[in-house]
Amino acid sequence: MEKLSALGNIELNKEENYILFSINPKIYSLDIIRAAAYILLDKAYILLDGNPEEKILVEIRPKSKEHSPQTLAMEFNNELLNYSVYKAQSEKNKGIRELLLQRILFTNNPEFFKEINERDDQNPAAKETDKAE
Amino acid sequence: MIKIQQQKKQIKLNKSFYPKEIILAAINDFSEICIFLLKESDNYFLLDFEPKIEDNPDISNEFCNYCLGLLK
Repeated sequence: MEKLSALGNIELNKEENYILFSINPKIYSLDIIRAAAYILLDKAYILLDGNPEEKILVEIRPKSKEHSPQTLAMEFNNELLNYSVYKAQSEKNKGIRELLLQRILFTNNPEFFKEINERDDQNPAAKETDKAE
Repeated sequence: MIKIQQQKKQIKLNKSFYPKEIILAAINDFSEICIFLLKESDNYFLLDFEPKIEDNPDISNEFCNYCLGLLK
């Protein structure tokens, strides 16, 4: 196995022509890894292995000679970064998104909020459950 | 991950990443082209398979990709 990155987390198996990617799940969650892998499904064969708590291994095997394992590894790396930024932004904007949605619902159906407020007044526990969700 | 044992092929899928329902769904979808035997070890699902029509070397890889696709 030949190490491809300075960090040593990308290894190339020249004989079998595949890349083995080691990922720290604390940096990239399994959701992000799956999303990045999904993008490459038409270009490569991908297999997940390892331990989801400690180290996730991603085996990337090109489907054809058009794509080299090295290129696919770099593409996968970029997709990981892409999705992690997307996820972070999405979580950041969650409040604004919910606010906009509430505003839309309120504009179209003002009764909606009356119903929610009435329900919350009658059952404060339901309000706490909604917040938790 | 994918090894050949006396002309019988085996796919090894980690239980932490591939739930059993997904594998069973994939087996069902591949049942026209392959015969599968599902076994389990502590951390892995072990799938012995034999292609029904012709031996396509990429079937096992396609199966893994298909499982990943079902996870989405």
